[in-house]
Amino acid sequence: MKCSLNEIELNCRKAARGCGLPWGVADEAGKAMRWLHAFGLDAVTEYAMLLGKYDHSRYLEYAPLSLEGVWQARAEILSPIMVGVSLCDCLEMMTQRTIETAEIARPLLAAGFLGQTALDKEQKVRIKWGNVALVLYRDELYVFGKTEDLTIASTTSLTCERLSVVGDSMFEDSGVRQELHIGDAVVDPDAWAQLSEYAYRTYVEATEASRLSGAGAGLNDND
Amino acid sequence: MESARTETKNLRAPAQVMRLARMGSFHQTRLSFMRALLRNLRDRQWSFSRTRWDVDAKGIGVAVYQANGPDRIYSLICYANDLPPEKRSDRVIATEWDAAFTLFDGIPNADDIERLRNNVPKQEAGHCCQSELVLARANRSVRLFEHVVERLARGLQPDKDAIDAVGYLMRTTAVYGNGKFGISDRERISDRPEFASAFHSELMAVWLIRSFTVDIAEHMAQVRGGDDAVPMQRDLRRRLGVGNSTGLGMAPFLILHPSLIHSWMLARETALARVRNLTESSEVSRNQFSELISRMMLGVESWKTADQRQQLRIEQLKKDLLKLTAYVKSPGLKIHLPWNALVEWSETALGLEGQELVVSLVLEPHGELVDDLADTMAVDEAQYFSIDGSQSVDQTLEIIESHYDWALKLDYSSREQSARFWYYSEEKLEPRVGERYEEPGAEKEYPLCYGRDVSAMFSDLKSFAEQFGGNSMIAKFLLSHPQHRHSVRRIQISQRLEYSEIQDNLLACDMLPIDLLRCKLSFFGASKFDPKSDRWVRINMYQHAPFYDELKEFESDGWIYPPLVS
Repeated sequence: MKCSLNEIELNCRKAARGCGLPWGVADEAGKAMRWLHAFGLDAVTEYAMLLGKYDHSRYLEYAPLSLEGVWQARAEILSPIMVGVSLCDCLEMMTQRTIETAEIARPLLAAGFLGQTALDKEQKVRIKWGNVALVLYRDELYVFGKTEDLTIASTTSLTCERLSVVGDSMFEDSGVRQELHIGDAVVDPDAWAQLSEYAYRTYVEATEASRLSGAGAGLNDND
Repeated sequence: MESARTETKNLRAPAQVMRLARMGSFHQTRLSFMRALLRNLRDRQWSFSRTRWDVDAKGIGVAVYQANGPDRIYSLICYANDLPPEKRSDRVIATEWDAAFTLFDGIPNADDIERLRNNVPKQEAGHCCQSELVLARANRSVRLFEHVVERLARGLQPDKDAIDAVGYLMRTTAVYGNGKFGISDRERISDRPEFASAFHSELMAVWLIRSFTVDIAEHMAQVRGGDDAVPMQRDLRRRLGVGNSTGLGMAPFLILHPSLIHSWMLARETALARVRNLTESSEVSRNQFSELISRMMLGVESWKTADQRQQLRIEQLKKDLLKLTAYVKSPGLKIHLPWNALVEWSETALGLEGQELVVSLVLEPHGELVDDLADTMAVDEAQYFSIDGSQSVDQTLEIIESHYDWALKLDYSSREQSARFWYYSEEKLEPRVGERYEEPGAEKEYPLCYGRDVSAMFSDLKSFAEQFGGNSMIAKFLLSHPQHRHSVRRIQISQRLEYSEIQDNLLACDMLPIDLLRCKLSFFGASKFDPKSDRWVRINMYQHAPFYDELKEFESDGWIYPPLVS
């Protein structure tokens, strides 16, 4: 089925909240999934599988314990959502060192968080796992290596580093530039329905009282 | 000669402007989107025509209006319906309307018209795609539509007083843009000059809908009266705008788009400052100003509402306009810094409605000085969304103390300050306001209260600073306190954009949601605010504006003020 990018952002945002994540994290999750879809990467399916498998109401357990050393979670695996927001917060720190994580689920989603961050011209970022690497630069995205690794369920390690903007030969070799497409995005209907169910948890049940007082529309509006 | 001084001098402080009571007193200005849009369409020589009218004797069918610009063509496709009166409701929870519309990107072919016939009249229950830019619907005014049809059918013109009492033939009950229900994402069209500013595509659709509302009334009169029927006279037609019912659906927008709201506010305040900084006034501007006061008096006379609070405000405004008339005579506008003196006088002599009307009026004679600011009322929100994780905890505390001092003073544990909660209803996802201590659902509260949330973060942040040191990065705090992430983002935006935050508690027992609606609608260019409760309001859009067949000959863009002679 087809959706607008705005629909993807809103459904993913509410789904995160419906699964117990804080609003501020959910805001970025929605934008991250939107960003990935704008580059033709099926984030909705990945995202639905992630939220379906790990209980994100225990989000702190899936977050890095510390920003020092190799990032690891208290739980068995890191969440790409909690890693994603921290990667955005550590863009400045990455000028000093490469960030490395322990085992992380659905690594593609973490890249989406960096993508939605407004990367200015001084910020070129490479994120790597398995046999694939993504380079993010301004509003461009390049994929290197085995594209089938983009959607792996988990990876034992992910690294993220800042690259020099000047004199980098990265774009002259095997990188494939992803087309940016603003418009209808194709999403899997089952994954979409699953996210909509999570999103539904954020709504309050309608009652006659809320219909009248909550919306303040008890008066005749047909005149 | 008028001369301008620096424009940042005399900018009103956010603590003065960003208060609900004042924002709820805003009037349209010449920077408002409807007015900027019509100026652009006229100046860039857009042309318009009705390219299809396929409506039957019952009023069911399709009409298409085409807009031809220098680079692109758009089409308003209208689906007219014969709605039984008992089904007519302006609430978002309605499922049928008198007419449904979409603004189409280009010229629709027969397949497009059929595809959209199965989706546009269903509105939220249908699904559109990226070729549709706007989705809207409208209901007839029971009071006026039949009167107009009946008179025209008999070869008579409608009664002017009847027209003025209502002001529109149809009310839009929703106008959707930006990716809603599958329609085009805003970023797909935001680089087009005609739609670069916020809401211009939606307001182009509404302006064309206005023509449809007259055409459908004349069509029904023709069906009923045959050869006896006549079209409406132009001067009467001009008195018709498009009505609109707006509920809480619009309220969260002002909170959720802080950088955009800042750009709207800053443009308006900068325009005011530029005028205040003029050292003298020209005779032309003085004459225009005096005429506008008289025209505004007519506008206020025809401003009808059954809402007691608004009625009192209108009465006060009438008195304020008399005071303003007296002021213009003496001390007058021939003094040094005349507009600044007028604004300063208004702040002591007039009510909030009057003060904000003065803001609108002083901009009017100064189009050349301020109209360029209409192009600054859009922003790339992504630029301001990212958190700077390297900011220190101490720096963050300082911003809170300097920018949120108003919020830190409040006691959110008191029932008065936490009486309300905002939520989305499962019914068509309508935003609503609940009573926290009386109704269920507060655990699903929607985060629209940054005053409370920043205050809560402030104490956690202070504890964190004591434990880990104030020079720790905010990234470290957020790692263990992700529940404060939205507040950190917010205060970093406030630090950069001073008009981004409303400095009032949106949970307080005396908070009036219609203040939020009125502020936003004033930026659209709406008039005749008619509150139906503290949560929804009727307005008029494009009343007195030129129709598309009058745009070229229309020299004055002060159309929103009623003509003195009619």
